[in-house]
Amino acid sequence: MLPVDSAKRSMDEIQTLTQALEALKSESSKVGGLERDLVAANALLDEQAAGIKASAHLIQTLQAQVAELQAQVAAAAVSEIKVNEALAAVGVAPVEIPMQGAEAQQRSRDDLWAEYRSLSLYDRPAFFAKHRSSMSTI
Amino acid sequence: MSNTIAGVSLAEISQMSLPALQSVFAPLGSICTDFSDELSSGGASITTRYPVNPSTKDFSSGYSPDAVSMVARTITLDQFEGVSYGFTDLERTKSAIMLNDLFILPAATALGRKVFGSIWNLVTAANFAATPIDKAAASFGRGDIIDAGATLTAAGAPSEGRSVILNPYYYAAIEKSFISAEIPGFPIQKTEGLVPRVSKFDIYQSDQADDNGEDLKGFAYQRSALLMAARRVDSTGFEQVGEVEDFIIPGLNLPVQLRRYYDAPNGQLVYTMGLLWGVQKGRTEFGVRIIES
Repeated sequence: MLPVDSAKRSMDEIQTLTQALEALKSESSKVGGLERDLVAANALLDEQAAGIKASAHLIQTLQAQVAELQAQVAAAAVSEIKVNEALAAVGVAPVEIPMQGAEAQQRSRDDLWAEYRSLSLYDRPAFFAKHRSSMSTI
Repeated sequence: MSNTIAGVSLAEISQMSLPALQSVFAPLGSICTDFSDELSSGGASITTRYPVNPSTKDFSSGYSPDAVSMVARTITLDQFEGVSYGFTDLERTKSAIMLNDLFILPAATALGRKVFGSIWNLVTAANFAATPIDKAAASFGRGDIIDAGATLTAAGAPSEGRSVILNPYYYAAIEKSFISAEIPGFPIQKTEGLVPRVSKFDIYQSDQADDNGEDLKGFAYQRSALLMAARRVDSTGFEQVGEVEDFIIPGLNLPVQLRRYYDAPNGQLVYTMGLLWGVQKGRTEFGVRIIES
């Protein structure tokens, strides 16, 4: 049988070990939570990395398209120069194509009536019908 | 139209007149016409021609040509008529002058009636001697027009360009024949009084289709039966006192002349619409009179 002091000391040691074990369990639980946080943070990091990679790819695609369009513009400019050179070679100067509607709007009523007068009697009705809204005074 | 009578150019009035004139003179498309914007004067003559059915020949011995089968007819431009309206200073001041209602429509209608009357006066027994269709309006129908067509075909008339002009009562008889069980419902022909073609004849009516003193009620014809010519009137010198505007009715090419001048002694602005024309019979075997003896 142990003496009382020795028994009391043993009981204290057991209590201390129990407390230590509980403290260890608590710390172990905290470590587990931190590990889960770390996994979640890693997953988020991977996701962000994938997004950055996709954006980089999109930027590359758009840059390629811009380059292609710039090439087409350059080619068109070369074609226009060639067309103008070809027209100049055959003696035909490039001319503007008039917009009929806009031209009619620009012509005054007096201009239209003057043109009406220059037409034959047979052509006048169709001309008046076409420009009636601009010519009519009634 | 507003009261802009003095401010509206004759050219614009002429173009505004076209719808009314086209409507009034539409039946002229059913006869042979010789219209031109060349100048002429009243009493002058125009020679026009209509075709005669040619006969074939044996080509095995050659292609020697025959004389072109055309018959010449002289048409005297003896009809120089028009409508002349004056709008006094007071009228123009106190009220709106609706040109379309007060001048254009009445003038076009009056001219149309006069022209048609001159053509209708050619439809006599002396000119068109084929046996007439003798029917009362109550018993007149589409079958009679088919009979007239047979007479024209037997006379060698082309099947194209055939028309019938009827007085209002005989036209109504044809119109009523479509109000029958064979055409059920209410198609536009019934509701609007439109008479469709009958056996390739265009059907016209006119209140000017009088009896010509010969019980005449209508006339079935091919276009070569009636001839009309018209020319533009020489207006040289008129510009000293007023304005002149010649214009052509599209589709018919009929020349019409508008004039405007100020009648100072009477204080009125005068508008006239005039026409120079003449008519003549053509192929007399190509017409069948419709009478009620």
